[in-house]
Amino acid sequence: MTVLAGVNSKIVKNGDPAPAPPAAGTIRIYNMRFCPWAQRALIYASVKNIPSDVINVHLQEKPDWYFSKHYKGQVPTLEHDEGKKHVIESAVIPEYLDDIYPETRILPTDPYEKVQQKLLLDRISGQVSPAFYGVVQAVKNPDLREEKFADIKKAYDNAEQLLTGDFYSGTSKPGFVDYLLYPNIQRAYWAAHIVPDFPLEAESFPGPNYPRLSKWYKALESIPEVAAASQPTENGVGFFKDYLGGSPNYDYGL
Amino acid sequence: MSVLEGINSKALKTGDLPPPSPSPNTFRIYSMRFCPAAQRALIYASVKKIPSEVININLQQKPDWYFTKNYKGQVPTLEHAEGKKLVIESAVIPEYLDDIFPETKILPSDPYEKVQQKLLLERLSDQLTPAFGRVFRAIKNPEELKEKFESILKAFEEAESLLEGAFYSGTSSPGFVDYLIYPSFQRVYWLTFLLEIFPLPSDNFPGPGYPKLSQWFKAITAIPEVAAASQSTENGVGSCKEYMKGLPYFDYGL
Repeated sequence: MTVLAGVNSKIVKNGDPAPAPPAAGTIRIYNMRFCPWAQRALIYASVKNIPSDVINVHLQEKPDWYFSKHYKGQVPTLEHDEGKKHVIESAVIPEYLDDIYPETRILPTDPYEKVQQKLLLDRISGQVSPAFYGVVQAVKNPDLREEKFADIKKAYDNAEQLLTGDFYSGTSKPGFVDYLLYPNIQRAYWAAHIVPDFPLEAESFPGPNYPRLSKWYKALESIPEVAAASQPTENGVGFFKDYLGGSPNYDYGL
Repeated sequence: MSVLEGINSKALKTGDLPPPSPSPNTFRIYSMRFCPAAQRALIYASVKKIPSEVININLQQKPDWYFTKNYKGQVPTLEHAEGKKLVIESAVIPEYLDDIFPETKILPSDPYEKVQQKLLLERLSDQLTPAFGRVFRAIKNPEELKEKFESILKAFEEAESLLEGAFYSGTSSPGFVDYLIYPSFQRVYWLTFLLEIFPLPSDNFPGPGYPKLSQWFKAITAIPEVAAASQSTENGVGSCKEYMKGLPYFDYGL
């Protein structure tokens, strides 16, 4: 049973009233079901078993009140302490959750190991994420295809090389980097179902050129707490098709 | 007496031999004298009184061996444990230094207060750094300058409104945000001497339009540990002039 309530609730948008503050002992995560950055916070809360209330926000017709939660109007935002505390930024929220719920800590305690996990996430994400959005551009502008496809291959070559064991945590279990990187990789998996001649394969994704990553992806995908915080392939692919067509449906599949 | 040794050493470049590993208990910071990001690490080490050895890198002719310290070839890089530990990224190194030297911790211990300091730094930096960069790159194209000035003024208005007390730490002493954002303000201060048409004055910088910031800048500039980690105005302004002429500037003033 998932600790995430409302992960598939209908989107709130401009004109909708502000929600009541979260109850004591509950954290709230402002989300969009298909946003890979917000998914990081959901996955981390799920794996840490933190009772969480999820509210999905329309990213093109944001409610005015939402800017009092997040000055940029982005997701995710963590709200807790009965609405008195707000934390933003997808790589910052998880570390904060480890700080306030130390009994289920995921990041290493050793300062050097901890900082290396944070830097590793920055490094890999800093490559795979822009490469993915480059592919999105290439779908709209075929002249860019050769360049953007080469970029994503390079990003995944690098991700494969940096995976020296089963997980990026460097241990026998997934860790901070694994959980937070997964959403970005999942997005490329969705793209592999849609984009013609995509250099990453949908079957045994990302394919035989990335043996460790393929095993890694399968392992992460199979974790119940990760699955509970993620959208299934059919919803993801469906949303992505609409998104590429310029008409994202934030409530796709509901 | 400064704990920073070698802050004004000559910059190493392609062909120069790698330095020997730092001796036990020695912290080394790879820097460039006029780099605001590297200055963050220097200021933090200085304020925390960590005996540090500074090695400057020529960022236009980087030694090949430097990429084994920082895969991006950027500064700052922190090296310690006899060269076995390397940490990069200018906002990450200071937090790491607080973790391994907790007795001189600058960040708050409370998780929420700590995370808010990190987010505030990111918010200020996200506006100041690109705004400065735009002006600096437009220096050779005077017709473009005035529109770039607008983003600087906007960034300063935001910085003034976010400064609620004497310091961004929210206490009576400077903190994490104050020390790490200072280099960005100093760079704009240097601009005031370079451009006659610059919209902010040198005297009592940034001027009467920003009363809290003017008091703040004066206070931070006057801190000996900050001064010890920073270049003088004459060196800073001089280095910018050399840069504008396309001349090497890393060793300006030595």
